[in-house]
Amino acid sequence: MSDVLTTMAYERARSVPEALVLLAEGGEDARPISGGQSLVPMMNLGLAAPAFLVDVSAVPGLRTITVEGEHLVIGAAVTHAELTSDPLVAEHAPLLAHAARHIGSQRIRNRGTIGGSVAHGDAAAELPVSCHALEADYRIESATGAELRAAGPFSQGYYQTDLAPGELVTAIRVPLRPGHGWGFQEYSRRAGDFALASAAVGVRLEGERIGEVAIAVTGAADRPIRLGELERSLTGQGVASAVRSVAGLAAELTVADDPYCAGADRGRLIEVMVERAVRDACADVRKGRP
Amino acid sequence: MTETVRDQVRRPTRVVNTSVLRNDAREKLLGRTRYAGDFDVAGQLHARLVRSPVPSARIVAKDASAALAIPGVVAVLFGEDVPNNEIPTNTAGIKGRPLPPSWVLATDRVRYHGEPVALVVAANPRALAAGEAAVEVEYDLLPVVSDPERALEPDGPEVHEGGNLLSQWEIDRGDVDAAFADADVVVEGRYEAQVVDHAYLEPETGVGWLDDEGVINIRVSTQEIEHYRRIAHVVGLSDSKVRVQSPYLGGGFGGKEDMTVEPYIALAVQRTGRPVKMTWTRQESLTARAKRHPVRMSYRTAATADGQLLAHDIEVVSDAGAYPLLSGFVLLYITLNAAGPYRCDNVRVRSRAAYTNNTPGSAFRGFGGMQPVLGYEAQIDKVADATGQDRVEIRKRNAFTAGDRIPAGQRIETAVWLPQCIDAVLERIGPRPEPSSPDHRVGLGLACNVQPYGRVAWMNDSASAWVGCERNGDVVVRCGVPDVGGGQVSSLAQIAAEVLHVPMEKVTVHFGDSARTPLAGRTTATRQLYMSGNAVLAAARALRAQLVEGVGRGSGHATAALTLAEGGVITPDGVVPLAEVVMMCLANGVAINAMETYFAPTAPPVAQRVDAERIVPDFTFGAHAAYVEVDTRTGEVRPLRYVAAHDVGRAINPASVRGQIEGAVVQGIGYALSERIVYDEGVNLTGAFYQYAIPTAADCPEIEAVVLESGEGVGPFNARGIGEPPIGPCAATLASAVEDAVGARPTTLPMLAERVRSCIDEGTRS
Repeated sequence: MSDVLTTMAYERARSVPEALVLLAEGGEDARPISGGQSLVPMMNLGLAAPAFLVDVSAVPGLRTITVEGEHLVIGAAVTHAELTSDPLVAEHAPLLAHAARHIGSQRIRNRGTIGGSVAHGDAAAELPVSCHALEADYRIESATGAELRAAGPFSQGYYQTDLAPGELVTAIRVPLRPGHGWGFQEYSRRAGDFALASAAVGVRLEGERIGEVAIAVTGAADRPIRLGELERSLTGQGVASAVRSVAGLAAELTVADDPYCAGADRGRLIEVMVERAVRDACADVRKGRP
Repeated sequence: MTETVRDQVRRPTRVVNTSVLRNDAREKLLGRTRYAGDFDVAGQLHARLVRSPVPSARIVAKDASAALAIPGVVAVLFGEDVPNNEIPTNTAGIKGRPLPPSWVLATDRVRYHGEPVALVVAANPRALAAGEAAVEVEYDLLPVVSDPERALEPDGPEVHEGGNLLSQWEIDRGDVDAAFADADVVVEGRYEAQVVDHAYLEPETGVGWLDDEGVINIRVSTQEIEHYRRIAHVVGLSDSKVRVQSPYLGGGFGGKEDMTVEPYIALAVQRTGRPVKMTWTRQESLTARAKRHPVRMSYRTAATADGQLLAHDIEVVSDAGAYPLLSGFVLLYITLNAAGPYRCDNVRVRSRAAYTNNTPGSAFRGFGGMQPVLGYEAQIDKVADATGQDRVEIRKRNAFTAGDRIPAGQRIETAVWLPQCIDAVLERIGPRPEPSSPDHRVGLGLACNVQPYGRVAWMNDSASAWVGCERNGDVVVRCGVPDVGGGQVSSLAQIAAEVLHVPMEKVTVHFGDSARTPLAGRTTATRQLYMSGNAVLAAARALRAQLVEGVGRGSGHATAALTLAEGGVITPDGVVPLAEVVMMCLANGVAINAMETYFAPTAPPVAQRVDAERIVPDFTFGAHAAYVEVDTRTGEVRPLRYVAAHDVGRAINPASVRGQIEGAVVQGIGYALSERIVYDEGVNLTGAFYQYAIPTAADCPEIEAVVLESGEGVGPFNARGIGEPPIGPCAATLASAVEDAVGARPTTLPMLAERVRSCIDEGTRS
């Protein structure tokens, strides 16, 4: 078992450039760590054995939440607990606050970070699917530069993300969408477990009809996916009819069986979560109206 | 939580029957209790098992040379290196057929995933892990049988030579066929329960060393220190050359009733002459340590038009896994308890336990009294519905009363407070909560149970205890109980304090040491308070008489004129303080200590057809009620409020009793709703707690424990056992609540959301 074999070097970075230098030096063997709520369990299970940990949790610039132009910019080391209580998140990206409340336990929310969650790439995690629905992008930095990558294609499969050794997620940028309503629903076997099915939904209403809708789900595939066909079919419908139109979604999904849940059962759970999240998102828009 | 103690027969007590601070509470709360894994011995080596990665195979080659070449690896043992590799097994099998052997280390054949094949001993954890990985074992795969009914078919792949039937029991009471022919209503049902794990926080762990007398000492987390005999057999030593100590346990629940790390530690100590520590990982524990038996149960029940039970016809198939362990006894308990706490004059039970290539089944809190509750409580609800009777009244009406015989023949000698338990939970459950959305429904469930306490009569069970006074008046109890966390030791202190009229803090209990405390048997079968409590009670009473005798001799007063009370012995001349009493005893040739042995009632073993006057010492009865909310769209079941009442005869420590009930309810909710071990053709896929869904605090409802005291029970101060009984009714209670909410009753555990939703869909269609 790797748990007793693991010995590793550890450095606490004071700035993003310092972290990037350390990660570049460490190459394939280095991993950034912040709250450790994903990486440490992976190490305990023997699924990860990094030789060098670069702790970015104390880098001041990674802990801020600001509005920059048309985006809410959330530092990668912002914790889930901070997402649930931050006023700017509540105002501009309430979906992230709703979603973060479903993550683990309070202890995990106090330690785990948004950057860690998106970089870890658990297919069932709450924040990547929410970022997909929000059409967020991630700021990725390395010793050689910085770039933005869209949340959707960033997820590439179970624990697979578009992140190379030496690269660090430094911020999550969420487009400001005034007038949208948001809903997040999930089903898990017990409180704090990863969800068997979840749905993150954003809606803009035109009068009483759906003008625009984004629906992202987990549980259907090896990564969070958008339900483009359903989004198109709901667009233009009245709210009640749109909620009803989600029925039948399960039949459209092809979900693989796993030892703990049959694919067909997951499909039915996804359908219910989507229906409820669409309903919640529409109610959220109406609540925001004067 | 509300305390509800209805005390009908209360002789005044000072310490017993009060919620005194347990003598283990403070250290545990402060995190200072040292559990077995917290002890290290200077110079210790580390040991680890190489386990089979496959559920069924022939071992064709084994090679330790690469492992032994690793620096730090001290020894590698295979089965051939074990002095007596066959573990003595005494479970109940089938008459005339010897039980197949169980092995310390498999030699030429493995029968389940995780079966131990080699023992690696190394100087440090790093060398140990490398050594384990370097032991080469070549397997030739054999057919796997993972379904017990398939295993029992004539062409089922043989797990052991001679067929896969491990054990079978029968009850034939009355004339079942005639009763069915005469019945007004007949109801049927099939029920299925899954494999679950004990999931205690403290893993299997211990450390062993050789002392100056050549005795192998093992300090280990175990429910049974008397395994020292089995351990001695394995290493080829005389019984007296192995000593086992159990410090406070971080949970047992039956999972530490069979040996776990003990024989391996002893072998490693014997081989190396050095201290050796072994701790199983959670993955090892979940993968390979014995589990609760999954069962399939078919019930047919006959009743009169007004709801009187006439007959049961019950068939049970239990999956024993790969080795016998305690499966025969668990199956006996399933058989004994199959008809529940209700009078029924015509009962047929046919139960069978089959070998498969799954993890062995063995003891788990409830021990066969648990599984059938799912069946008999569903059946009595069906009878109520079919006859138009009230589900509460039908239970009260059919409940046993003292003097009735259970279907297996034994007469119930103590009070049966089932109606009182039912009334208590229904009174306390409160008004029905409102559903949280139009998609949700709320339902109320009720279930009752019976669970024996104490071991089966032909185990000839006994427990010894020594109670003495120090010269300063301190009281010392020596009793070989393992304390699994239920307050076993503290209750003994309470009993001694009560009888000897000293405060709790004046009593010290030495416990759990096979060499230095009188043997008191295992902490299993809800027997420890009953057995050791009675032994301490007898010893304390004997000592009390001696102390009075000593003062009588010293003072010249007749002993009838003397009383032991708080502060000392009261004489016509005044009070003699306990310290002086001790000196008076010694000066007058009266011992200041006493040892007593309590013997449970004994009887010869039952035959395969179970019909006997005496099988178990006594029974504990209870009733549970719960509100659940069901999400009709997902099928999710959420318990909202839970009330559990048990008649404990008399509570030695009411707070401890409530703790046992609350903990059992949480464990029972896990059994009902979420916990399960998942196999793929014998390969155990559930190797971590993220896959094994124990309810968290957030998943648990408010739980109220109601402690009823009939004043009748065969334990000390008329106490009944309460360790196991409260886990029994949980699954049936929640199934009944789901049925009340949505009109369809789940019959397969755990009641996963998708199963409940299917159940709702079927109910809607029909």
